[in-house]
Order: sequence, then structure tokens, then C-alpha cells
Amino acid sequence: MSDAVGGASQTELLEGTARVVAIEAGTVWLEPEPAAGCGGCRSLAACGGSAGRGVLPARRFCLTDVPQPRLGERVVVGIPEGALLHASAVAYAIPLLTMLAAGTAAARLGGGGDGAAALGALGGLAAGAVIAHAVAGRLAERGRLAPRFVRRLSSDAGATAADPHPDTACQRT
Amino acid sequence: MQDMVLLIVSAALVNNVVLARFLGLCSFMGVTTKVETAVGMGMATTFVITVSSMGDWAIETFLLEPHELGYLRTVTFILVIAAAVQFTEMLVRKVSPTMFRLLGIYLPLITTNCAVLGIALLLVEGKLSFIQSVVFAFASSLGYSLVMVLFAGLRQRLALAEVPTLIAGPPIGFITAGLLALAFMGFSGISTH
Repeated sequence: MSDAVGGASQTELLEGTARVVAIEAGTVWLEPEPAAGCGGCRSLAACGGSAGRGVLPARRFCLTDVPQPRLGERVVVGIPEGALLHASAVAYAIPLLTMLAAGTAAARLGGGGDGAAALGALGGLAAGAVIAHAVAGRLAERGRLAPRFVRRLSSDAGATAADPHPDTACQRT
Repeated sequence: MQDMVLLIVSAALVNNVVLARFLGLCSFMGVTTKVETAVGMGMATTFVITVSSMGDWAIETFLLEPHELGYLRTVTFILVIAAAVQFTEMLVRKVSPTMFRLLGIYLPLITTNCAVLGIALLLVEGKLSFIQSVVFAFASSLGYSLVMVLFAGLRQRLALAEVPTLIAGPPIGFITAGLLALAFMGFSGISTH
């Protein structure tokens, strides 16, 4: 039933299940399967983390390496374990550290005033976001953050096509 | 400077938000099956807690305390946390849409994480300055992340160990968490105040 893809199993992957919701020329749009909020259990009804499901739009993503995709089928997708660490470090650690450094420096320069510290922290946060954007672009160019197809699980023949993500092309950045 | 170091040690280790105050236990058990996911959740939570601490401090200092509106504190802080989560989501989406797809799954969970609200309420109790509040929030959430990663590492080792069927799965997880909490009690010997 499962089709292993060459190369996907060479590195440790964090895996998740998704459903094919649209197929465009060479591009497959997928929607993550609803699990419990944290993925730690399947207690959807009792989980506060899943309260917004159904109200919030589903997060779609696209792949270009799914062989012979079929609408409605469930597939397992994976990302390299290191990708999550890199992404977390870039998206969160850089803005946080610049914010704390700038806030502390501004508090000292401003004689311990709260206003100076707050302005410094906000400035540091903005600067950190700009740096993170540049680093993230470089990582994405190298393809370090891209999810990949691992194997297919099952097919749902009754599925209908959904519109692909309205404002995003299938890109790596 | 020494005060700041003591504040960090106290918030991260001595009064650890998970193992000493028992907050955020849902994500502690739910997202610690792998070290990588624990790091992702820990860093996202650290970011949201630190950013929301700025809003919490400002609202407490300029609105709630001067106008004696302390009874609105919990509701207000929940709104601030929700706004901080939304802001984080926007920021990560702007930084990189690919990263947003990787990291976005953790963000809705943070809104319902009681550790976030707990830290916000603790920092106003302490009557701290702006920078002290931010550092306290950062250190507390760093302690939360540290425990998440430690526990995830232990659970990955447990997955390879021969555990009696009677206590396999969540029970051995809780026993391990208890032992970890006992180990962290060793930090309470450090005098912070």
C-alpha cells in the first residue's frame, strides 16, 4: 500500500498525514488531517486547542513531488528533523534575542526608565524580524525547509476538488 | 546585575513553571514525544510569553492599576495573549511562509496553554519594572522549554526501554515527570530572595 520514495528515508523525518485537496499542473495542494490540537492524542472533542477548527481556514501547502496524485487520497508527508530546529531558531530565537538585548541596552542608556526600555525592546524586535527574514530566505533557497512526500495511505474516491490556496504560489520562500 | 541573574535563576529553575508550579502540563505530556517537536513548541511558547509580557505590563501599569480595575486582569490578559499569538502568527508568516507551515501548528495551542496566563499573572504580582517583567517572562518560558526538551529526551529513551506492560505509555511518563520534579526540587536550595 505504501510507496516509499527514494531519498526520503535517508534522513530522519517528522511525519504527518495530509489529504490531497487540489491538483494543478504538476502541483499538488494538501490539507493537514485534523488531529487533536497537539497531536498527542485523538481527543478532539475535549481538546481546547481544537476549539477554533472549522472556524479558521485550513492551512494548505503544496508539493511537487507526489507521484501520480489522486484527489482525496491521504498521504504521509515529512520534513527533516533538523528543519524544525532551524526554523524555530530563526523565526523565534533571533527576534527574541535582539529584543532582549536592545531592551536591556536602552534601559541602561535611558537611566533605567521603562519608556526607553519599551521603545528599545520594540525596536530590537523589529530589527530581529528583518534579520530573521533574511536568514529564512537563505535557508529556503537551499531547500532546507521544504516538506516532502513520503508514502500514500489510502484513496477516497468521492472527493471533490477544492480551490488551491488563493494567494500563494507553490514556492519555497 | 546580580538581581537580574537571581531573577533568571529563580524563574527558570527554582520556581520552574512546569515542575514547581504545575502549569502547562497538557503540552508537557502532549508535545514531548520527540525532542524536535518539544523544541518547536518550547520556542514558540517562549516567544509568545515574552511578547505578551510587554503588553501585560503596559496594561497593568497604565490601565488596571491606576483605575483599580484589578478584577478585569484575567480577562484582559487572555485578550493580550490571544493578540500576541495572532501577532506571532503574522510575524512568522511575514518572515517566511514556509516556516509558517512548519511552525504554525504550535501557535493555536499556546492560546489555551495555562502556563502563558500563569506567567502573566505572576509577573504583575511581583511589581516589576518593564525590563524585569520581560526578563522574568523570558526566563520562566526558558525554564518551560528546558523541561519540555529534557522530558522529550527521556521519553525517547523510554520508548526503547523494556517497560512492564502495566505501566507502559502515559503511566511511566507521569512517573518520569515526578522524578524530574523531584530532581528540580534540588534547585530550591538556591537562595533567591
